[in-house]
Amino acid sequence: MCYIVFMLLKWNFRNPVRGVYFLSTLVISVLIGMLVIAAVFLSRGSLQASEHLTDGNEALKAAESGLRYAQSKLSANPSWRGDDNGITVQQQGLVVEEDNGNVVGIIKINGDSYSQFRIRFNWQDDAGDDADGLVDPAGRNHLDIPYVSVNNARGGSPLPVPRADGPDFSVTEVSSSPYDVPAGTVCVIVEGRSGPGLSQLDDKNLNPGEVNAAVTTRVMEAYLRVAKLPAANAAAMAAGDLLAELPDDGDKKSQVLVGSATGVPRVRSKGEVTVEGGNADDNYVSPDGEVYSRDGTLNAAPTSRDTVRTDTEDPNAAFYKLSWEDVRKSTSADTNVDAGTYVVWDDGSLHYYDMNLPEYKAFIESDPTNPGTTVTLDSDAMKYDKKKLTIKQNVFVSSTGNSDEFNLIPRGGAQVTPDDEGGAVGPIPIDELEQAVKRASSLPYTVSSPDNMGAYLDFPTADLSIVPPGSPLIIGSGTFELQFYTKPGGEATLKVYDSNRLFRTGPALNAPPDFAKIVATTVTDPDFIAANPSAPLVMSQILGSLGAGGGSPGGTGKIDLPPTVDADLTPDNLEIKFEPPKGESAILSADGSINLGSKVTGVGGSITSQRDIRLVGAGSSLEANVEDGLNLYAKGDILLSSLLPKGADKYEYKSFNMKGVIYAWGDFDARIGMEHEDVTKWGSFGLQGSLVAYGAKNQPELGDPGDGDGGDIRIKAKSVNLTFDPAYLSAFTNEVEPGPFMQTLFNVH
Amino acid sequence: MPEIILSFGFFAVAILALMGLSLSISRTDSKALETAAGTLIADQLMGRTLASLRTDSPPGSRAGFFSGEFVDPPWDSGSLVSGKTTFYYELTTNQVMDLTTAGPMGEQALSNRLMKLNVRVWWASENQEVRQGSGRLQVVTSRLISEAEVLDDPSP
Repeated sequence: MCYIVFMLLKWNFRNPVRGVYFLSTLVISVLIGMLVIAAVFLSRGSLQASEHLTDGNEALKAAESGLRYAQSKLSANPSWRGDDNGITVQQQGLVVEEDNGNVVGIIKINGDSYSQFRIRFNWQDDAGDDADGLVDPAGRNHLDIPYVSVNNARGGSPLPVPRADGPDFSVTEVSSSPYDVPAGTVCVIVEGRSGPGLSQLDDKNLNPGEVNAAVTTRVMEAYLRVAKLPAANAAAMAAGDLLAELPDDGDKKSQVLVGSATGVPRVRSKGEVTVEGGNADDNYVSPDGEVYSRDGTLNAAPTSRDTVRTDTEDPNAAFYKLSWEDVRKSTSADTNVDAGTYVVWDDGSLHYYDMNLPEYKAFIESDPTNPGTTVTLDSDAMKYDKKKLTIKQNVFVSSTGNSDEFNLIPRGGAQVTPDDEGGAVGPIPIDELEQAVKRASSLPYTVSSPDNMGAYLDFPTADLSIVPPGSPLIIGSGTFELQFYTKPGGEATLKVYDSNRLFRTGPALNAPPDFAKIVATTVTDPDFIAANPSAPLVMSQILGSLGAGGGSPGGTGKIDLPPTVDADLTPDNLEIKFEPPKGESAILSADGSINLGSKVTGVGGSITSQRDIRLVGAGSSLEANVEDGLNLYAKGDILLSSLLPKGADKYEYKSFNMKGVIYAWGDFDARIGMEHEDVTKWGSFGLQGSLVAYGAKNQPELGDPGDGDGGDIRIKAKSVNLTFDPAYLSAFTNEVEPGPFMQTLFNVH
Repeated sequence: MPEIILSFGFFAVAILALMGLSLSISRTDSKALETAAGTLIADQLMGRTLASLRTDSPPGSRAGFFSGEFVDPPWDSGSLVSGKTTFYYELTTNQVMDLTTAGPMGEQALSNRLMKLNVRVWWASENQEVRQGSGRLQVVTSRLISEAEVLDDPSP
């Protein structure tokens, strides 16, 4: 070609006119050619831009598809983490394989080409410390992406989300973790890919090792949380009444606020829902909210009734049912701590008394300087140091025979109210106890069959609905134990094993019990209590066994000590801090009541009791530090109080905010304020999670709501903020119920 | 004289090449623009479908969507005009089947059924997506949709 042009030029230059024609033609042709080439490149660029846009779009949809796949799998199995090993989906245009935590899927999007999504829960660390508990996937499913998903649906505390920055995209001990995924939440990170470089993808080759051309990638990150559990659909559920008492100062901000993290804000009560005091115009605020009550009304300020939908609560409708068996708790196989009363003196020393709280109060007031046993709690599970008890692992309170409670209080006691002198104040009001005594007194009985363990008391009739035949009610162990049996005909026997002879007519082990003493004595009889410090508790247990009430007779209140005894420490000076390993829980469990006269702080903490829970003296740190998953579960009542002594007989209530679950078989009582001349300030009460007062106290099993005693919710505070979030319920149970997972965070990069 | 003929020849070839390429470029550009518009429309249709499922509007649409497959007839179809181009669309659905249970993935009681939504947009003509000289003028896109993501209130 060059030769031809050269010869033509040579020939044309012999004649200048001809040369001009030819050169002009050549120049114009070259210009046109350049124009054409430029236009072609521009056009190709435009087409490529369009294709790139399409690839990005397809990669995004692939990632979205992977996220929805994970969402569906999690809803069926909340513990899922890509470990349904094998091909799980294979149909026209869609194939998914799971392999020990790694998920690879291809989805046909445009014509014959596939896009791909990839998720990895596997740390691919078998060559290292193998900390993920998963076998590494097969080589073809080894994923070269740094984004690792984390399932913390059942976690009790936040869990780090690691980046696979180790060798060969593994997670190592030193891998970075840019953030933590909250408890009850799954962090799913999906990589979507699309483009001509993935032309090798087909249903036999889901994850080609190398790409041969351009590939567009999008990474989608989401938090998925449990959104629905059976019958768990309200911020508060009360088998009895729900009462919020706000101050009468008419403050506009003094309101009950009800919200929901996943749906309609709702409260439910088998009784009445009442808000007293606060904003006179609008003291119940719940946009688009619902209130269910026995009569379908909301007893609140006028505007509240106009903005909230009310309806009648079906008496047979279920509440969220979290049985004792299903709740996560510690057992005797965990670290044990002796039951009893632990008292912190002003110098920070810890003193142990092998007795329950009422016994301790009577004991120490009669012998104020008795040091008990000075103890040091120092183990991997719990450590006491400088007025602070840190709980790092599950701790089980083992009964000693004399006590089945766990109490931690300052030397001067822990007050619920300014006038709290102990005993009568608490979840079991004295009038209820007296009523229970009357009911027990009316039962005819005969003493029979005394043996060397105690005595039998035979009753001709008994309420079989309380203790059905074949299901004996057994309370206590060791030196004192009650066993209550019923027969199909209605006869009943109460076996009293009372080696301390509290209720016997004589010192002999086989002496019959003085049942007149049992039924005639109440915890208000000071002479009897002085002679028998255990009597209030024992009485309570007997009444409980007869189905006549019972329960904890209350806390210490203010312990009456002489001025020579240093007892200036307040509950606000003590602290119990839950500090479990990340992603795990630390649970304090007891067969008896748990009374904590201290701040409770930390994350991932749970307290479970087969009787009552009382948190008294919760100070300002509680508001600041309990950020996640403090759960309270009691087969009896739960009482919270945040009274803080301020000196000179003045008090204020600190705010109490927590995230987690409050689940009481009996009543729930929050004292975050009080109309009293010595109270200078009320606090606010906030709960994100769920609050249930099931009304099953003194029942052997959790039946229908309201089958047993209790079930009321009473909150006295400056303002109340309840937000329903079922994720905390799921994190508190042994088995998370399947159900939809909702998206709470979404990010694309 | 031959040089003039040769020059005209060169010139004619260049002009013809320019015209041909211009036509080709025009078609390519047009296809690129229309593909971008088609992609946008497909996305809008998908977004509109998701929105209607989330709000269950019209009532019953959510239950209907997850009740089974919609291929023929499709879940939705119609046309949209953008500029001078008429875009035709069709939305079909496939139930995602779980090989491990040999049944549909998810169940109504758990609100976790999973569907594959396919959106096809074409603009060559109402009855076909191929135009001579331009090739296939269509955009197809798919996405999995889980029931949980379109629930406005998961409460029972």
